[in-house]
Amino acid sequence: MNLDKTKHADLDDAPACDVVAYRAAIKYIRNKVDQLLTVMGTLPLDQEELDDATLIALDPIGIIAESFKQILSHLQETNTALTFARDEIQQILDSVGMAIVVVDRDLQIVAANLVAQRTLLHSADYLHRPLCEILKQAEGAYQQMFLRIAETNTKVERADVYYQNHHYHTVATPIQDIHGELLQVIFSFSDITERKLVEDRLRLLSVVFENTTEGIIITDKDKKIIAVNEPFTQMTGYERDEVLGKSPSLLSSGLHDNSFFEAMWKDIAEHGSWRGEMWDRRKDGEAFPVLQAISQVNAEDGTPTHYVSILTDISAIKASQKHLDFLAYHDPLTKLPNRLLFNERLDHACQLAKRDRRRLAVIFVDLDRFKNINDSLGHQIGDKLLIASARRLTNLLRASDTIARLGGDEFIILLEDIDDPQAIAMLCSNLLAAFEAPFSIDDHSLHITPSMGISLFPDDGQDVDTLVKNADAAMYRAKEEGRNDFQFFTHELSTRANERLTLEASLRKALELNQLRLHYQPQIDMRNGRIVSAEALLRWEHPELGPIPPDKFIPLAEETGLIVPIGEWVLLTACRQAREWVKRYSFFQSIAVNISGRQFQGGKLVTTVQRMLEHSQLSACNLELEITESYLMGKAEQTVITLDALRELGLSLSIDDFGTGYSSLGYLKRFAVDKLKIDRSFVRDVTTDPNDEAIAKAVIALGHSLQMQIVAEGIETPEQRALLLQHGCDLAQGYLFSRPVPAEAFAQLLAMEAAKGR
Amino acid sequence: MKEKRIIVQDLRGQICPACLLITLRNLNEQQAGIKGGQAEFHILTDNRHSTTTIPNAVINMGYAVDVRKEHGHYRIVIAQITGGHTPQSQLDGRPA
Repeated sequence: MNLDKTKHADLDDAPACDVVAYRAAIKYIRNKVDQLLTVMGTLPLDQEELDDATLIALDPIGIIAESFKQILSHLQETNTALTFARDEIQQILDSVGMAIVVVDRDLQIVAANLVAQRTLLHSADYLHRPLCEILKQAEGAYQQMFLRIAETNTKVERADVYYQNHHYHTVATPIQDIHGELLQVIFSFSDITERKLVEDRLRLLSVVFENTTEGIIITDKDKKIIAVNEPFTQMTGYERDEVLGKSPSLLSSGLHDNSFFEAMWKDIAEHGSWRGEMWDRRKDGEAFPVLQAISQVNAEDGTPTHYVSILTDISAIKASQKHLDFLAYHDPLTKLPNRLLFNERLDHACQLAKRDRRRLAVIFVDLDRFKNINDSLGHQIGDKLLIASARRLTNLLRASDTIARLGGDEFIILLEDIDDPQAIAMLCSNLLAAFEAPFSIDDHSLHITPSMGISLFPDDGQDVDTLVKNADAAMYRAKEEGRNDFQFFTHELSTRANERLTLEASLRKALELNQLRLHYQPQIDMRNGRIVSAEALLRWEHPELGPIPPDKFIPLAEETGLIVPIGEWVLLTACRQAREWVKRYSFFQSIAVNISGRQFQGGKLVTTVQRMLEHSQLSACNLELEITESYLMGKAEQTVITLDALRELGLSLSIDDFGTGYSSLGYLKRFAVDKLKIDRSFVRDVTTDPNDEAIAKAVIALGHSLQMQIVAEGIETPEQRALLLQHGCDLAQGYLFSRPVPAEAFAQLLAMEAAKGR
Repeated sequence: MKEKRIIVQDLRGQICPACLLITLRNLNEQQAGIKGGQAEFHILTDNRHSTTTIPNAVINMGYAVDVRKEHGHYRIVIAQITGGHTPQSQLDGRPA
C-alpha cells in the first residue's frame, strides 16, 4: 500500500477560485470524516499523515458509510436480542413458583411475575403503583427489608412475612447501577404456608411421639427399626442406639411360635394393621405382656414404606387383674378361698364323686362365742384370731382338701375321696385338739373352741346347697350339745333345719298377727321384800307350735333384723303398761326393757325411745334400759355418746349379764350407768361355790363404789337371797319371788302388794 | 471442522488513522466471511493508541475483539461474536 504524500497533478493547473473551493471541500470532507469517526468511537484522522489525494483515493466517507451500515445492522440485531432476552426473562419469572415483585427506589412496582399478580397484587394494573398501596397488611415487613437493603446494599431474607393467611419466606435482592447505587429491589415471596403447617404438625407429632406413655417403634419396609421413643426405652430397657437398624424381633420373648407371627403379618398385609396381646422380653431378660398395635404405612402406590408399632405395657393391668381374680375367689383376711370358689370346687368334686362312685365330706366349722371376743376386744384382735384359727385348721388338712372362709367365724372344709367316715371323725378330733392350746394375740391369751358339723356325699346330699345346708345343721346340733364338738348330719337334723326356716317365716308375720306378748318379772327391794319395778320379757305364742322360747327366736330376730320393729313394739307396749301401773301404784317405780345390740347399731335408738315415751306418756324416769355387758364393752367408744344421750332423756340404764364378758373398769366409770345386774350363772352357785360368792361380793362392792345399784338375777332360794342381802345387794329378781307373768297376773301382784298396806 | 481463514493486516511501523480507515475498509469487504465465522481479521500494530480506537469502533459494528500482546507489537483479533453478543469479559480483557 502506498500512502506517500503526492500532490494531485490537476490542482496545479486549476484556476485559483477552483483551488479555494477544492481546499474547502477537502476540509469539509476531513471534518465530516473526523466527526463520523468520533461518533463511531474512534479518533479523527491526522491531516499530516494523510494527504488529500490519498484521502480522496481511500474514499473515507464510503468506508465509514459502509461501517455505519454494519453498526446499524448490529444495533438491530442487538435490539432483537434484547427484546428476546426481556421476554425470556419475563417467561422465566412467570414460570417460577414464587411471587416476584421488582420495585424502584421509591418502592414503586416496576415489574411483577404472574404468580405475584395472582396471589399478591390481584390486579393487572400495578405498574408504577407504590407497593404499600397493594400490600397493606405486610407493609411493616417489606419496608423494614427495604430500609435494610438501602443501608447495606446486600440481600435480606425474612421467613416470617404473613399476608392474607399465607406465610411467605421473602428475599429482597438489590440491583445496583454501575456506580453501585441502589436502582431497584427484587422481592421474591415463597409461599411456605403448607410447609409451615407440615412443620407445625411434625412438631406436634414429635411432642406426642415423645410424651405418650406408650412405647413406639417405627421400622422401614424391611422391618429395620428407624425410630423409637423414650417410653420404649423405659419399657424395654434398650437405649435408642442399641435398637436402631435392628429388627423388632430382638424383643421376642420366645413365648410365641412362628405361626403366631405368621398370622400377625398376614393380618397386617391384608388389613393394614394388627392389634393384640403378646409377650415381649426386656433387656434384663424379664418377659412382660404388652398390648401391641401395628400399622402399615403405605406409599401412594400402596406398597408398604414403614411399620408403626405402639406398645402398652400391661403387666400392671395383668397383675391387678390377677389380684382382682384372687379377691373375687378368696377371703382377703385369711387368704383362704371364699364361698364362691368353695362352691365351684364342691360342685366339681360332686360331679367327679358321682362319676367315680366315691364319697366326699363337707365339714362346717363355727368358732364358739367368737362374737364375744370380737365385741369385747375389738375387731383387730378378732381378725387376728380368725387368721390364727384358719392356720390351725389348714395345718391339719391335706393339700388336696379345700378350706374356705364363708364369712364371720364360719369356715367350711371339703374332703375329697373319703372311704371311711371314721377317718373324718378322726380328723375332726384332731381339729378340736388343735384348739386346745390358747392363742396368743397382742398380749391376750385367748381360748376358743370350734363346733363342727359334717355332711357326706352322696348320703346326706348330692349337690352343693344340700351338703352345705346339712353340714350347717349338724354344726348347730354340735353347738346345742354343748359346743367344742362335732356332729354328723342326721335326717332328724334336716327336719330341724327346715323348722328353723319355717320359724323365720313365721316370725316375720308374728308381729302383725299379734302373736307376741310381754311378760313381766318383778324386781324386789331386798331390804323389805317389796316389788319396786319389773323387767319386761318377750314371749311368742305360736298358734301351732305353742310358746317358743326366747333363746330360740331372739337370735333369729337379731340375725334377720326383725329385732328392730319387734324392739319398737316391745318398748311401746312396756311403756304403755308401765304408765298405767305407775299411775295406779306409787311404789311402782320403773319398767326395765332389754335393748339389743342391733337396735343400737341403727343410730336411731334415742329418737325411737323419745317417740315411744311421748306415745305412751310415760315419764322417762320410769323407764330403764338394759344392755348386755358384752355388747357395751365391745362397742364402748361408739356407745358412750348414745348412752349419754339416753341419760339426757332422763331414763336410767343398767348393764345386763354382768360378769360374763370382759369389762373395762375405765369404761364402766365413763358409762352413765345406774345399775349392774349380776348374771344368774354366779347367783346359781353363790351359796355353794366360794368363787362365785367372791365374784358376787366383788361386783356388789365395785357397783356401790361407782354409785350403782346391784340387781341379782335368778334367785331361786331363800339362802341365795340371804347371802346376797348380807353382801349388800340392792335388788333381786327370780323364781323365789315370781316367774315372768302376763300383764294381768302382774297387775294382781301389784294389787296384792298395794294391799300389804303401803 | 473447516479451518478459519486468517486475514492479517500488518500495520507495524505505520501510523494511524490511515490504518484505521484501511482496517475499516477491509472489515467492510470481509464482513460476510468474518461475521459468518469462516474468517478472522488480525491486525498487527505497534501503535498502542490503535488498541483502543480500533476495538471501540469494531465492537459498535458488531464484532468480537481480542487484543493480545506479542513480541514488540499488539495483535488485534476481530472475529464473529459467539453467543450473539460481545462478552463483558472480552471488553474487560483490554489492556489499559
